[in-house]
Amino acid sequence: MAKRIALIEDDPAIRANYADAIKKHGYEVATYASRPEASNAFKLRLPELALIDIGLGSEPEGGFTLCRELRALSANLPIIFLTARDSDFDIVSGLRLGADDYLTKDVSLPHLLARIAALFRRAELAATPAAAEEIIERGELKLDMKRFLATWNDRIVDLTLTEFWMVHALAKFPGHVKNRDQLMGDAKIVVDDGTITSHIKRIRKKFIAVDATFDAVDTVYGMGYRWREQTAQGQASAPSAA
Amino acid sequence: MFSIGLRAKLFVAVLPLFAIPIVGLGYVREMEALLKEQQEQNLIAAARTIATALHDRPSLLSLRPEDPLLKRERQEAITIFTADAGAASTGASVVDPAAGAASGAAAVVNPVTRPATMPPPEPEAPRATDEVSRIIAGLNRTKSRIWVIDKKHQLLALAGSLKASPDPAAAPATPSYWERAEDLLLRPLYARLLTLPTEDFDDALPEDAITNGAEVERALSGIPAARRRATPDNRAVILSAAHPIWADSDVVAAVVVEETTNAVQSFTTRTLEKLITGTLLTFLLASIVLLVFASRIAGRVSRLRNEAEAAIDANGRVRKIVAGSRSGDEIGDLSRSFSQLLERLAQYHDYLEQLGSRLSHEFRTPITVVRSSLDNLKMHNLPPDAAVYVQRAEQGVSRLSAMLARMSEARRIEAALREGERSTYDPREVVAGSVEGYKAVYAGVPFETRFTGEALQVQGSPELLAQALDKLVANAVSFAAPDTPITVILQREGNDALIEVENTGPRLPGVHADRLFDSMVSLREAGDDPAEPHLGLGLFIVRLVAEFHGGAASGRNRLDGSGVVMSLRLPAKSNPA
Repeated sequence: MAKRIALIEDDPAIRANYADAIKKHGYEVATYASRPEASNAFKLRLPELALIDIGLGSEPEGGFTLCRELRALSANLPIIFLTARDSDFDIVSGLRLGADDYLTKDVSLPHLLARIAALFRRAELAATPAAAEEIIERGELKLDMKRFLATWNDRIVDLTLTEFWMVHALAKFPGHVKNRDQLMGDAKIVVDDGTITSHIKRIRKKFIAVDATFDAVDTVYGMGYRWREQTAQGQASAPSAA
Repeated sequence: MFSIGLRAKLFVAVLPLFAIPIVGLGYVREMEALLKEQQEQNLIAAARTIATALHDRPSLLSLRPEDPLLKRERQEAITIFTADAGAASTGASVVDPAAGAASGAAAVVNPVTRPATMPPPEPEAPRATDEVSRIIAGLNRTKSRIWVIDKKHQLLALAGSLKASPDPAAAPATPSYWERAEDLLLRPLYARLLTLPTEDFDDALPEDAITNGAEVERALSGIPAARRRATPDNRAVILSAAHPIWADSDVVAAVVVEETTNAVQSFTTRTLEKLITGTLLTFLLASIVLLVFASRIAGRVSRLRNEAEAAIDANGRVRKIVAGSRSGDEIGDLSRSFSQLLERLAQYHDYLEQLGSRLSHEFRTPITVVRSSLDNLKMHNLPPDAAVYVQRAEQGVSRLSAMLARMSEARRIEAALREGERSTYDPREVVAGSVEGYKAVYAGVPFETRFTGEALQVQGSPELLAQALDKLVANAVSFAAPDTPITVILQREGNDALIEVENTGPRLPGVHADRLFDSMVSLREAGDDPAEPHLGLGLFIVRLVAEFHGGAASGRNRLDGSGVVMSLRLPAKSNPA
């Protein structure tokens, strides 16, 4: 049976376009133009994934409310935020609404579909034990590529899909500098440099929340970022310029 | 330009007040005239009183036949006496030591005083004139001289002196500080302007006054009269009033009372002194008050001016709002309206600077519509000739997206600046690392670097500095002439860390150079590089980052005009230990 995706978007053209594309990839789509409409529908039946626009008609932050309601109904339901505003990124992370990912609306449809597929995979495989070959280990870091789960010191780091992909891109080849374009490609997003910077900032914060001494994500000014190797981490107290 | 300050203007405005002492002067003069008139009346009254005592007592005035010799001698005696008295400056005049000593203040000009060679006078005559002398001595007034003259202008009696006897009570008391200060500062001025009446004058009774005085003539003809005359040495003015003495219906003699006008004059002078002192004091006080007042106003106005100047920087941006004064007067009003004006200006600037991100926000939805439509379209099997158009449409949308991304970048940086996460770092690390990155990114563009060896510490965000540097270098690379190097310099200059990015290439357009760092100002030639949109946000970001570090960004042409230098000046902490 086809997976059912709820699309809550107030702009009819975008709604129709997204719905068409999603349908074409074999999902079932329920579209809602406003928060009350979606809320009522969710009370009757939960979708398997929700794509929520933050600004909904007269409610500039209706998407957040809806996300909270959905989370109350289901802890595991994958939720993706769509936003027209870059600044919403920070609000989403600040409110810890439990979204699995957030995207600006100019994300391309293939990127969006890739995310949907990845989130479904993560949800499906959450229960099954991970196959060893699907796990990347870099010192304290373990990345489960099947379930998109990151752990540090065996503690789960609650990364969004985009953040997970970024960490993966960095940790795959420790010590190699990844520039912003490469990170964007790996994380399947198209954003400006500043957004990359804020993503990196959030990734650091999330790791630091688990381990206060975390400093494995290194900024190489003017070039990009790299994953600091474990061997180097022992000397982490020395300034990188030394 | 020559300009008059508020203070000077206030002073000029106050000048008409000097009319007040002039009016005061006129008033004092009038008072003086009045007092003199009064004195004259008093003198006449005194003369009348004395005359009254002598009316109808011809015996007193009965004189022996006059012999010219006697008269002459008497006159000599009077002249000598008055001259002596004047020289001695004593209050009492004694004509005849034998007779006059007893009467004290009264002096009798007595035929007895004739030299011994003279024939003795008839006994009754001296007695009669003695009587007159006693009477007038009894009526004696201080500072008055009274004399009686008969119809033949013969002096029958004389009493009193024109000069005041020194008053023992007026012994100089220790002067107060105020009096001493007044003496020291104002006396010389008064001495120059005003003449204090002196007691040191020639009080001789001239023959002329006796024989030819108009008032005497009139009195002898029966009419009381008064006259003013100067002393022979012109040092004082003597007022003399004459009154006839009647016997039956004939004038037998006249009483003349003389007084100097010194009392009135010294009163006038003292009043004038007080007037001048008061005026000077008032003006001094008013000047000080005005000066303080004018200074305060001028100070407030200049403070307002300084605030207004400081509020707007060289590029017309509002740096800070003038805090409106709470004072309720017009200057306070002015300050408040300045404050409001600047606030509105700042709002407008904010609006302009946020226009980019607003547009970005508003455009994103339609772009999403186009992009998702194109994405959907691509999923269909399009004929190859149609696919070309889809591709072109996608390129166009991508460019639009890129523009929007730039706009929101500025916005996001502003947001990052507002969050204000500052740390202390060494800009050398950031600049050196960044330049290594640029060498990789801009392959084929030679980079030259000149970094100070000195450790530098600035307050701010290294990520933002790197971003600003990205913009500066991207800017320099796009303007650099082919195969010319980009020079990146980091050095300490005074208390600042100075980062300069130089390129050889076209000069900055002179007029708008400062505006380069404003939001959405681009001075590139139109159609310069159509693939890469330039919204004029790059240097705006540089400015924001510089300001976040408490520094400034500026651009200038190389001195030889061969290229452009963009600089970032960041205040550095003093050398870390």
